[in-house]
Amino acid sequence: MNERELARIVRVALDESADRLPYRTTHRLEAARAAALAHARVEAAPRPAHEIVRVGYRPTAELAGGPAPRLGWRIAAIVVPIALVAAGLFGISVLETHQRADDLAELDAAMLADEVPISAYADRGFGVYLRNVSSQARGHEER
Amino acid sequence: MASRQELSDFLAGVERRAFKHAMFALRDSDGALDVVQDAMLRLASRYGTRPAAELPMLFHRILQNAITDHFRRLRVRSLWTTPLSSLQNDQNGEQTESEALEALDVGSDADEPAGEVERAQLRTILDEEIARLPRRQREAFLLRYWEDLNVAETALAMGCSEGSVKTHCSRAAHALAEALAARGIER
Repeated sequence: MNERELARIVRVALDESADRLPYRTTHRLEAARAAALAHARVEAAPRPAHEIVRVGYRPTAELAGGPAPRLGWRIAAIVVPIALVAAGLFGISVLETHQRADDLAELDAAMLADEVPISAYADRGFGVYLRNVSSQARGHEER
Repeated sequence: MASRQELSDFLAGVERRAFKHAMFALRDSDGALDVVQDAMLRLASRYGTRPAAELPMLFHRILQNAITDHFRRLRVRSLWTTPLSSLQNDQNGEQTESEALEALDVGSDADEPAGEVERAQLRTILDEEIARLPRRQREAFLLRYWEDLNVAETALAMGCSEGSVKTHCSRAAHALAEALAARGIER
């Protein structure tokens, strides 16, 4: 059996098979055809041949009949929200840094301004610290 | 430019064969109907104004893409459903397989003369053997010899070279001839 002979047999068998599809299937196919024809764009300008390779991969909006948004708007729709989020995060970071520096400065000022409590003088380590500090101060004065 | 009537006639003429194409690939009648509907909708909404002579090639290109899209969706869905489906028993799987074969084998042998019974058996065997072919070989063979597209049109519809179409067709024909011979069908 050569290729042509086989093809003839297959073609006849498949045609017969396609003619004997169940009613449920043929009915749904007819409904699908009617729906497709309802969406047919008969007045639209033909597309260039090189777009054939993109058949089947168009955005859904165009399938629904609506105009496809321009490329610039599509890029802007992605870039602008990302830029806004990045700017917001940067602003929050700067504010946090300033807030922390202010808190630390306030804490330092409060510690420096406070009097040393009485209990501190009873602490042995604090006494050693005071002696070291005063001896270092004397050493500096003698020089 | 194809008129509305030409587009309608084309779709009416191709819809059953398109369903068979999709059934060979998907083995699921509901999925095949969805794919054919999607392909018809895409053709009518985007390419309905193309010359009538281009419609067969365009439609089959769209149909192949729709089948590929369907497989992609199935693959994504299976990532979620595989753990659940493993809990079901094997009986459901056997039923699904038999339903798919029933949808391919659309003829009924009951009350038919002997010649018709023989033809029904041949249709069933051919459906099974064509469904077993590798996808690209089956597409090339059916587009060339069932849809009557020439080699160049088949190559455009399949998105491959003309040489590939010839190779796929030749391999499919050999595989089919061997399978038919193995099942006692030689003419």
